Amino acid sequence: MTEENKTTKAITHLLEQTQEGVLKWRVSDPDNDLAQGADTIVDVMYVTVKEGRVLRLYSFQFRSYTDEDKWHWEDGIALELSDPQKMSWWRFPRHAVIGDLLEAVKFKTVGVDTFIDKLIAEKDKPF
Amino acid sequence: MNATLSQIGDICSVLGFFFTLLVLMKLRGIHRSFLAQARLPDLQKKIRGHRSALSKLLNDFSAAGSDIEAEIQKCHANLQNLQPKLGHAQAANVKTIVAFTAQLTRSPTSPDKEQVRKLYLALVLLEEDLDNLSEDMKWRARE
Repeated sequence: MTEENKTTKAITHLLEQTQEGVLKWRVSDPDNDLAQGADTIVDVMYVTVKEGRVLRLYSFQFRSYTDEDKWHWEDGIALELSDPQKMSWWRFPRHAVIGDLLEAVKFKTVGVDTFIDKLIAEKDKPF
Repeated sequence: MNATLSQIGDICSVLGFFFTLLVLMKLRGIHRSFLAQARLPDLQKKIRGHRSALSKLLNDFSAAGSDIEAEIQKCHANLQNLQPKLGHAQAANVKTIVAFTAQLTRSPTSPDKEQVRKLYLALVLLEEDLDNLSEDMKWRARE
């Protein structure tokens, strides 16, 4: 199996576990190393623990420079892995599935499915 | 002497036949590559859209209902469109996925979660394949 396929399968596995509710994520403020700076902005971070490792997932905006004084904002998504002491972070390579993972995490963490179920139940309830 | 000239003529016409075949094959390749260059970016975008839509539907599979079948049908149509525009290796890969989507759309029962996951993973791997192919095409165009 190539390195690319291994990464794909690993992230897809995380996605599947998240969608099934096996892997629970929590919302967190950005860690100190991600605290808002002039060139990178992170609003919300999602964190979970898997196999004794900490995983953090977040979307960010960063300044992309085309010249010394010319720049524009670009969006990115990062999935990173660390030891329990959060000493150093390793970033997964850019991958399309990470975007789907972020969508799934938001959907499950914010509780969109239970909210919709409750709305439907409320609508079906007789007055 | 006459017999020898006629033999040379025979050999040349046989060689000419094979040369024509070779030119036809090359022309077909150029035609396919031209078509792929023109249509691949749009079809890649569509495949990306199907992959993302399937993932969103998997977030709440029980509520997805007929949306899943509709998405698979659209995906099937776009994969069928993509297949003839690719070279042998990639086309064989797409053919396998097309056979799977055909099986899912023809089935009288709705696809189950595992089948949708299988299709999702196949689309992810296909996307990687197509990304590599479009990079290769960019380099070939520069040569």
